[in-house]
Formats: sequence, C-alpha cells, structure tokens
Amino acid sequence: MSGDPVLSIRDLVVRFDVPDGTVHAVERVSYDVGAGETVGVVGESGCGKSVTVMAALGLLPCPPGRVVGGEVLLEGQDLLRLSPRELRAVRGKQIAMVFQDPMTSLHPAYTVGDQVAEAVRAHDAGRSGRAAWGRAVELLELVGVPDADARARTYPHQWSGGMRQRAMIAMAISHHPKVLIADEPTTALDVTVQAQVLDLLREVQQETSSAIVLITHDLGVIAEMADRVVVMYAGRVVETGGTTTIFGDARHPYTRGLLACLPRPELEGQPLPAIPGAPPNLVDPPAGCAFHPRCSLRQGRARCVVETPILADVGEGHRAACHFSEELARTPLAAPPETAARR
Amino acid sequence: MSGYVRLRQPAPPTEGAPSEGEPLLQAEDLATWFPTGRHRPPVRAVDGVSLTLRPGEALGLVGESGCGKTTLARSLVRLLEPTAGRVLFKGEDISHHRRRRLAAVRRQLQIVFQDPFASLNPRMTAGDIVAQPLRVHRQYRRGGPARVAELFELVGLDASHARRFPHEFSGGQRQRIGIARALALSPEALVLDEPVSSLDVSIRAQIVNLLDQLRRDLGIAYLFIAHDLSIVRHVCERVAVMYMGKIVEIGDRDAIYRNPTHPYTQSLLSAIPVPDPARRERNRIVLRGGLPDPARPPSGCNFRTRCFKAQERCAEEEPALVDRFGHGHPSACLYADPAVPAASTEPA
Repeated sequence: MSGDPVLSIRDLVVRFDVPDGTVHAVERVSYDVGAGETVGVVGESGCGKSVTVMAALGLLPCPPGRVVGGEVLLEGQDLLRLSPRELRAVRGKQIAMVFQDPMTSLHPAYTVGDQVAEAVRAHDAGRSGRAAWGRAVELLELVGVPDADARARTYPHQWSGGMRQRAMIAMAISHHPKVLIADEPTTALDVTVQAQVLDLLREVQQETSSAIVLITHDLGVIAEMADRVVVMYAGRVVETGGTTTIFGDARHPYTRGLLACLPRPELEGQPLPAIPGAPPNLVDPPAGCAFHPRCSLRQGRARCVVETPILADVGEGHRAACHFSEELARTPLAAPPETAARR
Repeated sequence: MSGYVRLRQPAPPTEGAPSEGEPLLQAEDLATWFPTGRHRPPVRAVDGVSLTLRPGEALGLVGESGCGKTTLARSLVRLLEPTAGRVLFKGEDISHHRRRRLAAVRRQLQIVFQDPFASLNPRMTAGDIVAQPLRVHRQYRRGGPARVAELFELVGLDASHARRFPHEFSGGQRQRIGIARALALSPEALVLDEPVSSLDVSIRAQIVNLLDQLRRDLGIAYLFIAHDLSIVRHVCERVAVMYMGKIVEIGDRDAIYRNPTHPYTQSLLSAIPVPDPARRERNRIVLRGGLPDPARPPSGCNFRTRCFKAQERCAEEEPALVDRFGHGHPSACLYADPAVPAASTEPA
C-alpha cells in the first residue's frame, strides 16, 4: 500500500448484549485500505467480518450491538464520533456499500430506476428529478445493464439476481465513493454470473480508483480480486498480508487449515484435511487463543490456553497472531498429518 | 462401525437382484413441468432427462440455480410427480407407485436436503428425528433405540445428544442429523441435494469426508447434487451437467474436468474462482447475460443465447445428447469440441 490509507479501522471492539450474556463479536480489529487497493476480508460465518464494517458505517442495530472502543478513520476523520446526521452525509457519498442479497436490498414497490435516482439525489438535492433519472440510466448503462432506459422503468422482481447486483453497484458508485465496501457481493449468485460481477467491480475500481473492502468466505474470490488479505477468526484478525504471501506462505494454522481443506485434484480419493470441530461460541470464547481447541499446531502446549496471541510481524507487511507461527515458516503448505486423519 | 449396519440391511431380493453393473436408479426421458397460469406456457424445470445411477457409484449433478437439479432429484424420489417419462428403481417402473409399493422403494432410496435448518422439525429431538423413518416403516420396536445410537455414532454425533433439539446443534451437526435420518433404513441409494452448500468452508470438508467414508463403508450409491464443481470432482466418479432442464454433458470425472466438450461445461469450469493468486491472469470465458425465461426457452439449443460458439444452425436444431467423439462421453452440442479453450478449463 502506498501513502496514507483512505480507510483505517483501529482497534475496533463490538459487543452484542444477548440473553445468554455478551457476544464478543469484534475484538480489537484493525486494518487499512489504500486508494485503488482491494482488501479481501475472509472468515467463516460469525467471525465478525460483516459486523466490523456495519459498525464502521454506523449501521449496527444498537441495542443489542454496542461499539465499545476503537476508531474508524476515513481520511483521518473518525466516523464513530460523527452525529447520525453527519454520518448520513458521508455514507453513500464517500463510503458506499454493496450487500450480499440483491433480492432483499431493493424495494419491491419502486422501479429500479427510481431507486438508483434516489441514491443520486440523496447527496445532490439540487439535482432535478429528471436529471437524477438521466444519471440513473447512465449509471445502469455503466454497470452493463442492457437496454438501461427501458429496464430502469421495471421493478426488481423483473430483474435477475446478477442484474440486481449490478443495480446495487450502480447505486454504490453514484457519487464516486472513496471506499466501496462489498459484503459477500457474489455469494447469492451463480458462478457464471459471479464472474461477470467480479469483472464489473474490477472495471469500476479502475474507473474511480476507489478502495474496495471485499468481504467473502470464498478463498477463490479473494485470490482473484484482492491485493491484500485479512483473515478473521472468532472476532479477531488472525493473519494479514499480501495475497500471494497469504496463499503461498500462511503463518497462522487457521489460514493454513482453510487453504488445505479446499478440494483439489491431487486429493482425489483421499479425505480432505478438514479442520476439526466448529467455530466457538463468542458468548464464552475459549481462553487464550480462540483457535486452540481446533489447532493442529498447539500440540498440548499450555501457552495457547493462557495467553491470547497478538498480531505480530512475521515478514514484510505480513502479520500473524500465533505464538508458534515461526514453526510454520519451514513447513510446506499442506496441513500437518494429524489433521488430515480426522474427520 | 459398519458390522451392525450390514446385519440390518434388508436381505437382498432373491430374484432380479442387480448385478454389479446393473442400474439401480434410472430416469428415462423424464420431464417435470410446472404450470404458471392459464394462458402461459409451463416452466419446463426438467425436460427430457435420461440418466442411470449404478450400485455403489457417486454420480454428480451440477448446474446453476434454476437449471432443474432439485426438481430432478425430487422427481426421482417421487416427491414430485413427473409430467412425462419413467423412473425405474432396480428395473421396476416406480413412476405410478402408490402408498405401500412406494414405501417399499423409499426404504431403499432416501434423500438428504440442502438446508439443515429447514429440513429438521424444530419441535422434535434429534433422536426422534433419526428414529422417525424407523417408526414410519415399523422397524422401531425391534432394537430402535440401539439403532438410533448407532446411527449417531456412524455420522460422528455424540449419542448422548439425542435428547437435544435441532436449534442446539451447529449447521454441520444438523446436516449430520439429516444424513443419519436418511441412513436409518439402510438405503441402497441416497439423493443428496446440495448437502454442503450452506456450510462454512471448514465444516464443509468434514461433511464431504463423512459422506466419502459412508459410501465406502456401506456401499451406498449417491446422486450428489451441487453447484460447487470442485466438491463434485472430489466426491463423484461420474458427472452430469445440467442446463435449463436438460443434461448437456455427462461422463467420467476426468472426461468432464479435463476434456469438457460442451461450451457450457467449458465456461462453467473456467468461471470458478481459483484459490491461487498466481493463476489470476488465466484465460477465462465469461458468459453473457443470465438464464433465459424457462417458460419460453430459446428455439433449438437452449444455451445458444449465452454461447460463445452459437451459429445460425443452433437456433434451428436441438442438439441431441450423443457421444460425438467415441469417448463414451456424450455431449449435447452441434459444435462440441474437446480442444477449445484448453488451458483455462482446469478448475483448481
């Protein structure tokens, strides 16, 4: 990353108050995104990857959510300190979001063109309705909606999933945001349509040089799109580094486990090296390192249960939160044998 | 762990027992259409599918959402009434079976559903859910509780959790309950409708391994439906590719993944994101547009509206699913060609 980050999340802590106690959803999460850069945030459901950005944008329902600490700096300005009104002026203009489900993020009773035009006028009240409509059609053309003028007059149910996601992207880029946050933008889509939407995101980025935060559980999508990767587990960042580094030289056993358990042709006829167990309950997370009950590297060592590892430098722009990450430096990427045997 | 299961397997019928290669489950020109209104054409969700599942094999069925995979699965186990064509189980036409005869088939042919949240009754305990097929088929009185405990162990669940309710289990564990339920009657064939799609990456591998292990230990045949091609490649020996209600290509795993000949299979394989940043710049085929309206399919070849090879002839002639290269690997394209976008098709 060159120069100052556009978006910088610093030590963010988010909790949810639930009947069973307090969910430690996000624990001191930090990451930066630079202009024109794509950062991929990867992790399993419940790891806090979405909650982090929702909290950053003030979109978290409070209660039950609570932002306990940290700061979210957009070009130096802390979004967490803004009033709701000030935040509304930033959201959708300087920082925009594309959600996972294009089926539920559009209003069924308004035409798609109206909704895109509304996004245009939200930060440009001076623009006439007619001008906003014209800009909406222009945006829909830009994101590759065929026959945009006529399609803009139709309703979301007449649009396919891929086309709806294009409309969402059109709204998100309507004010050339400095940061575009895409939360699982292709998870609800088929692979052939996913390829189209990913291509579109790349094009949009080239055009607007926005910073992109791409949240996904799909390591394939990360490998295709991201410049840098943030791996999250149980509400914490466990590893971060350049995409090639993460895929070639991961230093956290969880990252290694995720990469190793993907089916690949060499594993035909063999069990996949699965990570045993399941992610922890964040009301009562395991003591020490949250990954220790599933970890192949721990090998009974007490330190993992006592001390929570901090994110430490393990290489050029590469950090991992594991007490024994240096042990992975010399081992090949395939998972250690004892995990491969279990199922 | 499989000893008891083998004992409990129904005695093989003395007559007409399928030999090694004889088909277990067959679809013959199967069609399932859904009416959409009085003046509208029906949606042809499944439109003339023929395929064969042999004993003990794993056949993968891949395709995008809306291509008819689930409708085909449900028609095969007679959860949906086919509009036309036949379903044969061990050579017997079951398309018109009712009640008792259908129940006899269902003891040997079970289904695992996609969504482990929606497919388990939230008011029943896990133990009751797994025992339900035994009760329905009047096998519970004879050693039911022991069988349930054994099934729990077989799928890697703690038998002491049988009194818990579905919401007390994680997604992966719930899918294990669904699998245990499907195995309760010791079926010979399982239809698995996207059994791992809703699971997280680390859990997905566990369930894939469990399914692999069960098939090896129990010799069950799988019809494995998924949209994730890399998982199908791992689990299945043969693969069928579906597009708009029809099978467009079918063959052995290596034939499909190494030498796909249908342009749809080729583009599907090339569109999968590869978890290797070094291969980012590979040559991909990105299809235009999305699926056409299934109630008004294009003339000729269904795929021609998105195909990178479409010619005028494709609009006039419907390509048959035939072996065009003598490889035993049929493909429904007039211009099928194993050579086309060579380097870009290997998915991972």
